Amino acid sequence: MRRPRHWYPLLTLLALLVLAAPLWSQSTTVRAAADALTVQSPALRFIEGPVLARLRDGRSVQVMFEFNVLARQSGPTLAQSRQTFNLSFDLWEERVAASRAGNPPRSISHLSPRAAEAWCLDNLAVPLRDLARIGRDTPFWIRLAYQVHNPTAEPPGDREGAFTLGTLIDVLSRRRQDGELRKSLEAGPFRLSSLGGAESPVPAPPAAAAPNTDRGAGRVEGR
Amino acid sequence: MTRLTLLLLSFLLVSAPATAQTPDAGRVGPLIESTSITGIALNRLSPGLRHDIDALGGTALDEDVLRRLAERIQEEHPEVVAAGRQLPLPDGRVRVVFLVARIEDDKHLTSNINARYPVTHVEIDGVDESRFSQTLRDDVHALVGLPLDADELDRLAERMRAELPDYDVGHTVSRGDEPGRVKLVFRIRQSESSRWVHFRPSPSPSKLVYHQQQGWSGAMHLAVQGERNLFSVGLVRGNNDDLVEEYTGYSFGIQNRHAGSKRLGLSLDLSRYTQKWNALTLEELNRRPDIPGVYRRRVTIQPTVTFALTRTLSVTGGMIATELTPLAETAAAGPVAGLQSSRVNAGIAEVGFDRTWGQRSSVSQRTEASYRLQAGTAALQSDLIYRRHIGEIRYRARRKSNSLMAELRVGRITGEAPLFARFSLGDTSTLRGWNKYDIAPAGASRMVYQSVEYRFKNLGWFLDTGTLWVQGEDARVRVATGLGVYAEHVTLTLGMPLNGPRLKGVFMAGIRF
Repeated sequence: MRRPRHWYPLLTLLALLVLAAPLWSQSTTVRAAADALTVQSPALRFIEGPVLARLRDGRSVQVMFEFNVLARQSGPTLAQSRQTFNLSFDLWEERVAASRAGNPPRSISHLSPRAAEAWCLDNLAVPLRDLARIGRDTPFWIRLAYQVHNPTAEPPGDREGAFTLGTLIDVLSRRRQDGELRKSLEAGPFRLSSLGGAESPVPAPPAAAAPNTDRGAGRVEGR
Repeated sequence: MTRLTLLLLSFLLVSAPATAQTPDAGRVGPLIESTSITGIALNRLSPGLRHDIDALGGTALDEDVLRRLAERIQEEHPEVVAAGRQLPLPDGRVRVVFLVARIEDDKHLTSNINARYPVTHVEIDGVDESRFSQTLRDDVHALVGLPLDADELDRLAERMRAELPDYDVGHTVSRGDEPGRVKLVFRIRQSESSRWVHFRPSPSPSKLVYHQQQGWSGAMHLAVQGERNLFSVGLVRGNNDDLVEEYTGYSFGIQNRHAGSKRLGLSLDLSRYTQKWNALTLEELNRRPDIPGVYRRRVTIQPTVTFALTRTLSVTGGMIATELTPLAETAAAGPVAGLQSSRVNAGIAEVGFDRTWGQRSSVSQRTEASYRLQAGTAALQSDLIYRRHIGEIRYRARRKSNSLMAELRVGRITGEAPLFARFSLGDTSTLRGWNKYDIAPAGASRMVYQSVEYRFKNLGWFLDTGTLWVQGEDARVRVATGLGVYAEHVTLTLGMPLNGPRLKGVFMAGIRF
């Protein structure tokens, strides 16, 4: 009889932790700019995989964002901003165009995917007046969530059990078969007193080491 | 800028002289009489760009130069789109106009930036166009010459779905043959749910799983799938997660789901596996001489024919011909007598039901049910005469982040069934927490098993109940429960036998595709 080795579970857990490490290594910052609180999260990439594939097929993609300011980690919402962005990809110039619905509408084109992601976050602001009840030295957290609608052309088929070359490519490229993609992250604590000016995010040590900071380690909860 | 301007822009694109639309290196174009810009104040451009635009006057037209200047306008003002166009004059010269439009002023551009490009070609791929009404075909081809209209594409796709409800309709837009043009392809594919015959899943789906008490099992199943045919190759390494035996080897399969009729499917599977046997299995076989012995190689050919009575109900008939190579007496096998017989040929009859509801609604449900009879008979020159009955029902419902799964299996074997046909429970997918070599190391001839599992997002809770026994012995019901974490294709499970000798968790992990 082959005796299972006791270090196999540890090895498996270690491998899974290594695979999941990027999820914990992303960072998020906030800044006060033009009477509004905005968020920057360079690691939050949503124009890739099936979304980018759909854009390159000349179709548009709608992304709904929700930016919540929380009283504490996973706590009640103090202020909120919701925006819907429409993305498309200029087939001839090979650049992304983004439009923000609502009032006032805003649009931009000729962006790289990374720049388009940053533009969407820049246009997702919580007015600072909505945070008036927070003391300048009171810590707060933020939750950033997005949901992409219909990133795939066709509804998912019954492919259970058949690991096709297509699914192999999907797995290796981390594509999903779901009808929707969504992700959320929480970060904090931040303090209004330590937020930077309009153009420069305030550098700060990691949140765990210095609670009085505007920079937190973002934990991305992917679906 | 309004839709009218876009139409004008597209009209200028389409109506411009053909010689001017395709840049030809070395060719000298007509002289430019003057240049102008509409849609943006000149003083909003940088001095250098203004100078370069002014400098066009009196030079020969070059489409590439116009395109580069339009790109520079867009780079300086990413909120606009720009295009340089030529208007022929009676004296043979041309006037160049740079048309600039704010994206947010046009709902079509905000919806899809490619709305600035005219469509030069429309194609329907996947079905013959004649299957659509003449009105719809006319409306599809009327898109040629107009700027891309994403809303209109969606409306046409919806009309196509209405006329061919069994088909999925998608569309792709790609670059046209000439700069600044796009072509459009509607892709029509028959939806899987509307198929009469479905491709069968592999008996060894791809996985790499670990069971704390049974070790690793691995299987890779690769398939190349077309509309009607599926070719598959399977590689298995040390898989003891399905059967009593641990097997390693390879398999090939070919399936056709439209063999002259949409109701008729054919398949042929070939496999060759070598076996390893658990010491507990060998001990049990020593104690139970009535169970056919072990073997060291199993080669199987399985041709089947499937006929779909309806889209959800099908019948399958065929044969499974197996050649077993007896295990030579070894130290590992000890005194266990190897299998004397070498041919196990059985007929197969199966009735299957598979229905999915509400794929496009908030609650999707799927029910699969099957009954299968496998009978080894002397008429097929089988050395082992047996009958194996198994009935299965699986139900799955999904609503947003919630999933509910339930499963029931009932099996019965009469006669002398080979070890690979005997029932087994207690692995990474059944009776999770129990070890199959503790329950029935050589399998059993009777089985009842049920499982209920609820998942919320990535977390799951399950309750497995099952019993294995042989005729004439008491059946002991075993219960297990546990929790699982499911992320992408990775599964981490902790199962716990509830009525075992002691309450001890069993860790399982794996990647399944």
